[in-house]
Amino acid sequence: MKQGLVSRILIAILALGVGLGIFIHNDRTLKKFFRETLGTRSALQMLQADIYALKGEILQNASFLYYSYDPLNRLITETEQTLQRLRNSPQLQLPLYSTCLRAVDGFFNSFENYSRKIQRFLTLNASLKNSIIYIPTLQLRAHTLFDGEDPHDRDTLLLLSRIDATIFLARNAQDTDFLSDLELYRRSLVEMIPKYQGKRRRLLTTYKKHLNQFLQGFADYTRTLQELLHDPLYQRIPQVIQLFQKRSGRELYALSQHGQILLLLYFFALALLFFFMIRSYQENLYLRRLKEELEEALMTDPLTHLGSRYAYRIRKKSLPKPVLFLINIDRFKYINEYYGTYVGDQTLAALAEKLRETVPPELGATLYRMGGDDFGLLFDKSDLPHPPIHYLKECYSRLRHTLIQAGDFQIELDYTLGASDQKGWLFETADMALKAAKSSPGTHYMFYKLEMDKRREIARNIQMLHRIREAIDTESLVPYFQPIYDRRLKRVTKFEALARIELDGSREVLHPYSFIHAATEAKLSGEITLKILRKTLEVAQNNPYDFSVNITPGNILDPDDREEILKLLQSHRNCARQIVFEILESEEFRDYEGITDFIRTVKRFGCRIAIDDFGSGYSNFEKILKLDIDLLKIDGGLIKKIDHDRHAELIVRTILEFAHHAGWRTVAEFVHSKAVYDKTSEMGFDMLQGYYLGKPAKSLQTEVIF
Amino acid sequence: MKLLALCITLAVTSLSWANHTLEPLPRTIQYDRDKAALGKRLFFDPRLSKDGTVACVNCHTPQNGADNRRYSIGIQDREGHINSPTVFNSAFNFRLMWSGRARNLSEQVRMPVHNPIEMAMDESRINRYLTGTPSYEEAFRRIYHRPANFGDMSDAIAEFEKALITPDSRFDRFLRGEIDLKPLEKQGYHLFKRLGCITCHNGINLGGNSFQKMGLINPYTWRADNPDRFSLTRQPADKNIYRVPTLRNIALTAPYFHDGSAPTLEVALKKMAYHNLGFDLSPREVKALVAFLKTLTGKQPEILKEKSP
Repeated sequence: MKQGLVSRILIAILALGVGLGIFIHNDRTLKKFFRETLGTRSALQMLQADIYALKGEILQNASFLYYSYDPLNRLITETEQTLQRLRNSPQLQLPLYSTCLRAVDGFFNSFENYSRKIQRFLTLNASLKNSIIYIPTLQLRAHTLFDGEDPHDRDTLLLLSRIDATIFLARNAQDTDFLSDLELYRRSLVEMIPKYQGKRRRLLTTYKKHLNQFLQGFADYTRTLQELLHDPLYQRIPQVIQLFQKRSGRELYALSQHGQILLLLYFFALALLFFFMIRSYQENLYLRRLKEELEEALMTDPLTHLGSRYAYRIRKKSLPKPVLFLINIDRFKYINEYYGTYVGDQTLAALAEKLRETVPPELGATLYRMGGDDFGLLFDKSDLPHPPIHYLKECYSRLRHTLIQAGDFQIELDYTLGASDQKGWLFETADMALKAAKSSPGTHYMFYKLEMDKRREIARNIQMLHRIREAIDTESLVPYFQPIYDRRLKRVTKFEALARIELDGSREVLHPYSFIHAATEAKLSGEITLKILRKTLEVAQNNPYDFSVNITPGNILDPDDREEILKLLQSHRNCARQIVFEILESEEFRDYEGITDFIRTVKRFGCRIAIDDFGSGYSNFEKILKLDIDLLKIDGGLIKKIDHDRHAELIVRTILEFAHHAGWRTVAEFVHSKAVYDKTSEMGFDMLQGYYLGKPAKSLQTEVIF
Repeated sequence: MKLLALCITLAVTSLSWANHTLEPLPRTIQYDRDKAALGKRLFFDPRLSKDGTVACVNCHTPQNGADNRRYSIGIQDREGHINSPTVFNSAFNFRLMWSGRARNLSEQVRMPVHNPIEMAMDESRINRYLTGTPSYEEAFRRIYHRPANFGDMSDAIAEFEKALITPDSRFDRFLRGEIDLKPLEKQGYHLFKRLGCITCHNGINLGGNSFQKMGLINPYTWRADNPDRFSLTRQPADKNIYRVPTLRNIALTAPYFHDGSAPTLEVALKKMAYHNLGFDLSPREVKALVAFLKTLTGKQPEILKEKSP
């Protein structure tokens, strides 16, 4: 859902970005277009203006006798620059404007020729002007050199005047028709020159040279001027402008279409965004509703409409001194199995109803279904007139013997209640109390007490485990030997090796029953057995007694342990036959084949086999018979009361009879008093063992106490 | 306000010099001071020549923008065959060099630098010299934001040359209506127009704005190594056609013509009259014209008076 939101936000940002992008793009493209178009157009217009100004300058240069060339040069430079700018303009580089660019290039080349022609015209014009200006000066000088009274001189002056007048006319009218007249005058002048000498002749010669200049240059001059004024350039420029206008119009059209498409795309994106927003809104609504429903479902049990376990947890936190009663229906499982789940559910619902009615109102209690057939009753014990146990009792008595109407059936239920006021572990401890109540027959309710807490036992076990582990590692696990007295030989012939853990340098000694359970749980019993066996073998090496060592069927059946045992026997071959394995009859005692195999193997080393604690409850005569055993040790539980318990005596006698027939020797354990000693002796046990004869000790006590 | 000032200026100016044939120089000119300062340093630097003896300033002295030799001297004291034109006011010329070969100042700068008898350098040597000189390298980087190079060097020198204007000549002040010319000067001015000199020597620089022929009436000796238009176009009609030289500061720039063949103004005037008018000037005319030409001497360019950085 979070991912959905993120992706939706991303889409929204994207859409906005695209929209913004489109607007900026459109705006930029259009602005760029207008800027460029404006630039190009103004350049083209400037070009046109400059060209026409140039025309004006040319005309002025042609008409004025003297006139500055500077403006003309400036215009030429400006035109060249404008053209260069146009040729390099990025707009005209676009494929759309290729014809325009070609036209501008063409114009540029033509203009180069045109400006060259202007320079030539200026040179030509100046050479003509030079003469036109100077001829009147010559004319004046002629009047000082020639005599107006002299007919020849007068003709000469007249000729010069005619030439002067005709040049004036021709030049100002820009008319080459007069050149033929001038040509005639020139011939007359050439004829006249030889008639004069000195200054006159020199003047006429100079005059002739100027006339020649005019005659030679004038036609060229007028033609060049006409060409300059009517150059095709002047028609070309409007064409270029028109062409550009068309192309830029086309570009604008394309741009606006482009923009419209982008805009459409944007609107589409916007619509998409709206769609997503609406979808998201709807989804939000749905989710909120779902959340409310889920919360409701979480807080309330749908079947009983009581508070849920979740609701219980929340409520519990708000109570300063909470007390919880757990109410459990006895044998509810059978109701389900017998009547069916439907009736089971009906029962639970009806009970919920019932609970609401029966709970004492002064408790201000809230009711919960904690799961399955567990109901919870939660209240605060502060400010209550009675201790909680009082209400527990009351609750039970109100509940018992009431009939529950479940569907078509009327069912009488019985209950067990567990209660606790342990704030941190309220439910767990109440549950412990409930379990304790259940396992105590005839008890229907219990308030939590510290002893119920299995957690302490677990902690103890863990601690014990540490000790055992340490004991194994530090060699403080040692065998203690208890003498076994042979009644016939009247002396101690055997010892039973018993595992002990010596703590604090043997000042404290731990007995197996305090650690063997934990050790077995932790799969350490094999290691203990091996350790004891090894140490016993070492003792047996130097002491000519038999030693019985306890071994469990688990040790025998474990391939690793078994292998280790055999290895030990192998390495102590000389004293292995002093060993008696005492196999404990227990629940593990099932794989007879494995045990038979073990017995056969160890007997090869000369070991003997004893069955320990025979008659303690697991004994199976038939199976035992099949085992190749040597000794039978009768359960201490029977022996210790044999002097006054006739049942025990009967059992023991029977076992002894059985052992006698099976050919096994018998040992009585737990001979703790004179009375027991006498009794067992009388009953015919082969061997006796017990505190009356000797306690287990680190050293071998070969003398019996009595 | 500005517009009004402009209108007045326009009105006054159009009154003062009718039809723009002649124009006074502006009193000041806009230019990039940093570039010009750098250009000035380069202009005076002889190490821009192959043997380290010839700077721009050798042939374009601060006195007149030219030298007073007939022919200029290049590296290893090689003598050329052309009289150096003044660099003063050259920014107003439409083309540069006698032949009009250069279209602008920075184009012109490269030509003497490359000319084997002038400075005889090539671009890579110049680049090496400039980048190898820390103060140049620093200045170029500061001004042009890139390593020193030949192109920017010509630009800087051109910028300096742009600043070489000689305003406030007596004639300019006359044109502006500030003073009146002396009678002889005025006579010369009128002769200048009457004889048609003005046909070619017009505009702001009294010349420098068109190509014209020397020897229209009486041919001028043509030599194959003349720096005329023909040297570029190879068209016979272009023989002895030159870019018209400016008449500004003419009194200071003797000798005259492309070949330096006229040692004095008088000789130059007589020669021009003979070749282009076909007549001798009278001594009075020469005197008047010389008096007029002397009014064209302006003030020394400001930038030359500034201390070099």
